[in-house]
Amino acid sequence: MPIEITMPKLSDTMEEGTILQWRIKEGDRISKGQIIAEVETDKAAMEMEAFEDGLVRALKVDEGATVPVGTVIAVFDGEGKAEPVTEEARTPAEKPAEKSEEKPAEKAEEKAEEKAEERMLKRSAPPLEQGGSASPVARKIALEKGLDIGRIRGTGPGGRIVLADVERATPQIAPPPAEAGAKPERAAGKSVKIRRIVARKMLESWQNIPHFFVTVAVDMTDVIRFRKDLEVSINDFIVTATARSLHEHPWVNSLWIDGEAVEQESINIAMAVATERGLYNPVIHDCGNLSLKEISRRTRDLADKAHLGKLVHADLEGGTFTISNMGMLGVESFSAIITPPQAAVLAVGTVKGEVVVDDQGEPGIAPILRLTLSADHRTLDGADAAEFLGTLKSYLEAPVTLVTCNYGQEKE
Amino acid sequence: MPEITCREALNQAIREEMERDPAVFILGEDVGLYEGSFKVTRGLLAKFGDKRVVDTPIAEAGIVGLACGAAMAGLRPIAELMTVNFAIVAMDQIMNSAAVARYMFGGQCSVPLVIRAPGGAGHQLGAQHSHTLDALFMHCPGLRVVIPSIPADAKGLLKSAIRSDDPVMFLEHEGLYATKGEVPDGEYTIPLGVADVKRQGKDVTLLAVSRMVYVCLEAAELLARDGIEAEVVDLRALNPIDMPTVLASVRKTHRAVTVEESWLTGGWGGELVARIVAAAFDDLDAPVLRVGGADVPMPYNKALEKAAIPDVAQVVARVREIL
Repeated sequence: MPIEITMPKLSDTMEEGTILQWRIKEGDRISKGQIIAEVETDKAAMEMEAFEDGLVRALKVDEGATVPVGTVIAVFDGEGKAEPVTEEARTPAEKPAEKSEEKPAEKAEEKAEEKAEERMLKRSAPPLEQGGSASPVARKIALEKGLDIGRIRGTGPGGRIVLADVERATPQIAPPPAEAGAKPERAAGKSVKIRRIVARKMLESWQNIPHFFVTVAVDMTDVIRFRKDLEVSINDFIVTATARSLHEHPWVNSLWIDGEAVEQESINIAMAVATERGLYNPVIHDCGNLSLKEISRRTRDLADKAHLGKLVHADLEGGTFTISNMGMLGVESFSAIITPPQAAVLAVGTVKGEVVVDDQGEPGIAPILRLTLSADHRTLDGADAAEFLGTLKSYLEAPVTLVTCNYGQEKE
Repeated sequence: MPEITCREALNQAIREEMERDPAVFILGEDVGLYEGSFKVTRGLLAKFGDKRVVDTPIAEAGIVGLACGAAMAGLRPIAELMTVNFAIVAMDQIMNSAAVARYMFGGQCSVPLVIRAPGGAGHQLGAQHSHTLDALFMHCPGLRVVIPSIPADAKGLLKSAIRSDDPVMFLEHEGLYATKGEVPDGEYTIPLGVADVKRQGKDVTLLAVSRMVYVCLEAAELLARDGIEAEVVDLRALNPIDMPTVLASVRKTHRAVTVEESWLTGGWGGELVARIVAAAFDDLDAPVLRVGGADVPMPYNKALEKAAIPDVAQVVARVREIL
């Protein structure tokens, strides 16, 4: 019995997905749990599993194509129907190059050799080649609205996609596959898609959230000393100290939902990771209960995954607070934009020796870190922000509290 | 407002300007005693005398040359050519003297000269009396090219042309002299180089001058029956061209068709298409198409003459091609 595999909804905001790569071919036998495809959603590229055993009858969507959630992307024969795919059963979507006589080992090799760049190039093939042309204004408006013009039916002369078609198409099709034709994604560059998501979110944030900014200077002398002993990074101390501080100031760990601030029970810190493809915000979940070492380990894992493009949906979901660290880039201090619906974002600068005056009025040199909290004034007042930063500062200036703190259970 | 013909509107403009400014005078073949080949100068000789309404021999180069010299000397001549085709006889005076004098002499003189020339086909006058040479003059920098379509514009634009310090080719259409329309009494001017939207629409922009404005308005009327709203922009001048108005209209409708009476090849429509594409490519929903006359000398035969001039059906057909 044929089973239709549809584009899954992998996140709340996902309206369409791009098949980056098929890991299966027509005629392949699939077992439940096997990775069948790599799918790019509005948040990340993730792997898609087979939910049942079966035989691949047809792949309905080409690699690189973007389809709305719910679109049939493949048809399997359910268990018990093992006969090979007949020529008649094949759809035009199938690529003739992929013959099933190839040995699996060869296939695997080929796949491995296929560099990311080549994949990108494949994906940038203009989708318009099958259909008609599109008028300049139709292209422009489609681009502005983030529509995939290759998927719009043209009703103009000779099937040209005209403005009216784009206007009609607006409701059902949503954001932009990078390969929209007009502006193909650069092979080795940032993802246009991620850029657009960031653009949309940040614009929304900047326009809707009344930001204010509070900066403190933190003496990092002890963190630097501990860091060497413990083999963790300065960032790990900051994340841990932030988690502890959020625990003490739960109001900062709230989300703005339906016109009111709602305190969140678990502390999920999103960390901004700039990758070659674009900006990701993977989340360290429940880090109110994790030790410094565990936070360090998870942070490293998430950063690695982000750079390799291996983040899965769960890694990106549920952040309650964000930390953006530009310290490694030599930035002294900066202010970040809040990720809605979070209440605040912490901008971390670099640690730099500065002349300070101690309690006795004596000048000295200390490694100083500047932390800037961007806070949503709907949720937090200046005093809330100041108190939170005060706590954070006290943790970082006495990092022994972070090391010995007996929070929850180690997961190692 | 009184309804008068284009002929009367032009007459009013000349008369008022001659009354206003003693430097204004008119010269040309049959402008005096005969009161103009198309009766535009009716009553002027009687009113202003033969020093200011000057009958000339059939010598277009002489008429324009004399007018050009008079303009450089401080007068404001209006030279009437019997048809625009004869302007070619005076082309050296127009392009090599009038258009370039101010530039060549470093601004020491100006040439406030108006050359009025009837043109256009439709009266079986043969190739040498029926052409529309708008593009020819537009091609020459230094010449203002002004082309009215309705009586009010004829008056307002001619008064501005007479007052302009630039040489102006003022191109009239023989088929429009008897066209009636409301014209404000007395002082009424329209700045040169400002187009006029003669009909509002949202689906396609029709760009035209002179008699083709009427063709476009009729085409728009036909298209409206099918729910297509065409906007008709009367350019009123080809130098300067009012690109802001053209572009605003194209950005509104996303489609455009140029409609010119004369030969399509090398016509002003092509120039306009180039400018639209350069400035508003991303606003277009279709290629900009042109409607123009057949690339032939104007036939004498009535049926052939009709076939050589753009008509409503051609405009409608072009619009349908891009919708």
